[in-house]
Amino acid sequence: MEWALKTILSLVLILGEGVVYGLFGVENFTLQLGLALTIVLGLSRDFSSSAFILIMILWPMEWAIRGERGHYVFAAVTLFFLLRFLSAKLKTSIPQLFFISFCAGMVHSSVMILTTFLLNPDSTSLPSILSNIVWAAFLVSFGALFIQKLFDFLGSFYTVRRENALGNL
Amino acid sequence: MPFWKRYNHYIAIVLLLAIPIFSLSSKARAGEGGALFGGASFSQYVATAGVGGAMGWLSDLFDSSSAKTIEDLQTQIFSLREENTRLIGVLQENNRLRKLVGFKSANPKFSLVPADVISRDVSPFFNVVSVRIQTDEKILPNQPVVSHEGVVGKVYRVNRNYADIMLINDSRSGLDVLTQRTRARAVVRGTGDSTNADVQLDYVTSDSEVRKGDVIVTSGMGGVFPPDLIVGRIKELQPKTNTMFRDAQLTPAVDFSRLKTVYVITGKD
Repeated sequence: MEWALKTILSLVLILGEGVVYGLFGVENFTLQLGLALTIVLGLSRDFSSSAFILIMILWPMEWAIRGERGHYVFAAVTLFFLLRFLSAKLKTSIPQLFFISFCAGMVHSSVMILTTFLLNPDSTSLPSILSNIVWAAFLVSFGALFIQKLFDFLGSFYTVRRENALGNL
Repeated sequence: MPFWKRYNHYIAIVLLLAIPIFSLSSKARAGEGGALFGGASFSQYVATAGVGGAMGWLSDLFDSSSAKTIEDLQTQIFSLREENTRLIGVLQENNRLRKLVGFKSANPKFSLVPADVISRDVSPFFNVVSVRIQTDEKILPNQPVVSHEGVVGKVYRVNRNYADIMLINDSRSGLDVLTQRTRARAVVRGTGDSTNADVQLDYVTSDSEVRKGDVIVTSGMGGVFPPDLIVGRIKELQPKTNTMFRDAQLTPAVDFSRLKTVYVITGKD
């Protein structure tokens, strides 16, 4: 049931993020929690549950981004597979997670630039992506740390419950 | 071994790839948002109302617990302050309505449809806000959107009572404008830079009489915006050189971080 709780939490975070930004007028400090979730899921050990959570949050991620359709989530899925490929070689302590998330954010923007360039060469959103690439990667690193802490907390909560249940047996 | 357990990795990979490919191949690049977009907007509206309500409740709770501990005189001061704040709010509302009435009398063929901001784009790449239309009037893509301060942007996607508004500082936005003082032509373009709210003023000819601080208004060309709506003020202007055009930066009249209620201009055609 842990994955179900993580899925619900992820959906709430993705839909709530835009609402909070709207309420408080946040323009410059957008954490991109959907992308942060993708990074954390890509680095997690269990492929099936993380892939399932990502499948569930891809549509809401698509709604939350008001750019050209599909580019953002396509880049997110590409990043997920890349992180899955590398996850065995990567250590995910806090400083490393920050650095990995920063690089992942850069890769995500680069894939977006590539797909926009290939599929919508006339699009005027390319300068915007290019000018925000570093800033977006920096912010998403904080988002990934937040998500990782949240998932760790959920994980520890379930571990304690499981141990208690085994103790009662 | 059950089918799902045996092939779950492959099924997950296929589903993960199918969603973005379906989305990329979607022909509706702008305009109608679809039922899924509507569902998300509705849930965001519910969340906005919920968060707003919770904040109001917490505020009330704080007020009631404080009220028990303060002296009568402090209560009076608070109530007077509250009244004062309310009156300032009424004056601001009056000022906003006066400006809107001014717009209505100058443009009788247009009507203003109010809409509340419910959420914003979560990426730093795009400057788009989602709104909930307060009336049943049909809203169409590309219709202009204003606030009491000036031009906000234009309708990007619509689904029933919800719409996405592309702000003028989005890099995909372009707007034909004039300087109010000399009627010199130019084009306002969003930079998309999330760390800077200013927009770019392009195609300012080197021989045109333009200076720092000039008010920029819509020209009415292009068929989207009515003429003479305030867009902003020139902040920086490149000195005259031998080139054909000068670069300029514009501070928008609208503070996009404080958008609460906007108005869609309808009834043009």
